[in-house]
Amino acid sequence: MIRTVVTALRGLPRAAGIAVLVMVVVSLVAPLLAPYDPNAIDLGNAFGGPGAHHLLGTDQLGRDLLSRLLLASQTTITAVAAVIGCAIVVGGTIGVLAGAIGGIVDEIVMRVTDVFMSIPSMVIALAVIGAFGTGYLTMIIALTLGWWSAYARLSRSVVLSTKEQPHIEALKVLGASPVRIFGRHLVPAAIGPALVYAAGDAGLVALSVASLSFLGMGVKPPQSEWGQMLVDGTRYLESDAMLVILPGAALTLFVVTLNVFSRSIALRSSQGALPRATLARRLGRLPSLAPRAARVRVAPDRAKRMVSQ
Amino acid sequence: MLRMIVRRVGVAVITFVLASVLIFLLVDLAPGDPAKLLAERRFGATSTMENVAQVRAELGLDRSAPERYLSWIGHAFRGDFGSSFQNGRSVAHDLADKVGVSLILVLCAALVALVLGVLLAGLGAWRPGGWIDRATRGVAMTGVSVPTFFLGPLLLLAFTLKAPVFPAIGESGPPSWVLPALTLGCGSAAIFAIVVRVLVEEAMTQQYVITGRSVGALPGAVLVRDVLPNIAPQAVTVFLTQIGFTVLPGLTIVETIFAWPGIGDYFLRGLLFRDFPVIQAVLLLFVVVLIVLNLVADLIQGILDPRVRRSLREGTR
Repeated sequence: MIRTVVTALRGLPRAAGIAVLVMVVVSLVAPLLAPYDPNAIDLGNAFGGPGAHHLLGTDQLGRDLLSRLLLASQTTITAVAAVIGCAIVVGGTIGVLAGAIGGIVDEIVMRVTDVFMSIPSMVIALAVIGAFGTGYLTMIIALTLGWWSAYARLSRSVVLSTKEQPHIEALKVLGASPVRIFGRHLVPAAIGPALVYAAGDAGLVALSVASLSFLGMGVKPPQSEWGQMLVDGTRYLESDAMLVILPGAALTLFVVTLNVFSRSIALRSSQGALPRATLARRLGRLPSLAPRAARVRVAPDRAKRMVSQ
Repeated sequence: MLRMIVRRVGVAVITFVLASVLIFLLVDLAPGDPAKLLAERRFGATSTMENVAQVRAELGLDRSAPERYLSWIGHAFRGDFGSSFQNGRSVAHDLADKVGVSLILVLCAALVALVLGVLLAGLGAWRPGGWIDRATRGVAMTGVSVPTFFLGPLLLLAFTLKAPVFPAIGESGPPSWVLPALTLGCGSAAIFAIVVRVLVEEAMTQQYVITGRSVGALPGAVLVRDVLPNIAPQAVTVFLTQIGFTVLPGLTIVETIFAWPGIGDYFLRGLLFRDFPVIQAVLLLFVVVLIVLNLVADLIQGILDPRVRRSLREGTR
């Protein structure tokens, strides 16, 4: 799959891919790159503009903005990775099980998934945090609850179509145990599309993390996070607009890069077929309340046209 | 036709019931004992076990879960959502007060989304593959990625602080509607633009359009007569679901930024205070609106699409 990605991307998508890689690496080593301790308060230096000491200036408490932005990228990326990881594991497991077992279990799971999918992820996350209180772990769990349903539906449809394949029949005839078929054949088949979908989700999850922090329900001070820096900075909009512009621009750049990259990945994914849920999400559409997700084929030439920018 | 409507409504009802159960469970499973909280508030720090038990009986919290659920949903249908933990006021009353403000915001944002989205899509579809097309696609991509809580302060900065064009805070008549509506509507506008652009492109590659143009039909006529009716069902569906999925959740953030006393703001206060009646009521209201929007979108698609109408008439479904 990596080979497909690398060879298929040219031009803008490849640049975006490299940008994503750079962002991830930078955020992982952020503590090493930050010139100052992002939490070091220096009131004498508050609202300082860009200068020799502080490349991007300081915030209302004198903390170095560059360091805070770097740490914020680390906070965001870890949160996004955690949420998507959990969503894939939880949603994927449920979906594969539902597809593999079938019958009444499948129906029940589909109904529950439908309900979760018909409520926006942000609202679910807000509701869970509202009921269970704020905190980093609660935020991760809340966001996972908001995002798992799409992965459940996705992996279920993959399993449903894989189940019919001849090699599964052959394995059953040869006496392979259901667990073996499940673990070594069904689950790996679902991982690929899940990752492709996750690339597109990452941007939205990042925005949600920032939104929750903005509303005071996500990452709390003194931890740095873009949304939280924005809510602090808005208070000082008149005096120092940089406190708002810098984190906002950083977040936007982050999300734009992820989105551009993921669009090209999704449309050029090796299978060439997108489950309807993915296509609908790509096009910004909600899957209807019908229980079964059909497969929609995107013809290669159309995909190329949609992507060529 | 009737069968389709009945079936859709049936699914909607089931979804509503399931969602209401989830909402109820959410609050039920939440940590913290409302009886204890209220007893402490009423009797001070010296509240005793009897006080707590009394409050519990008052609130009906000593009944079984299904009983409490039925009681809650029964009251909700009659318009009684309980009293807020924060100030004891009737939640239904507060909601009724605030709905108007939020409605203004949602309608204006929807208008913005519609106009901007169609504009962007139209610009792009004018010369597919041209630089305008790529530029609008870039703008749309950015529009999707810009967070509302960044766009809001940016607009405030540009149009209120640097140059006093629009009022900044609070709801005070049409001039104050512009900035919040723009903030809320841009995200949906971008998504709508992308979708409409794809739909128009698909429609323009259809045989009948190519034939029409090649025999000399004017671009305008082709657009209105051939492209528009074909993209209408899907476009309407996307638009309505966008309102549900992007505009409504964004209400909370935009009302916070511009200090509008609407339902989003009310919801946020309820969340921060863990005011369960408020949280439950707003969630329920939200779910109802979402389901209705979805239903209307499904039905419109069924009605506007002659193929669906014909297949229904012929009995195939």
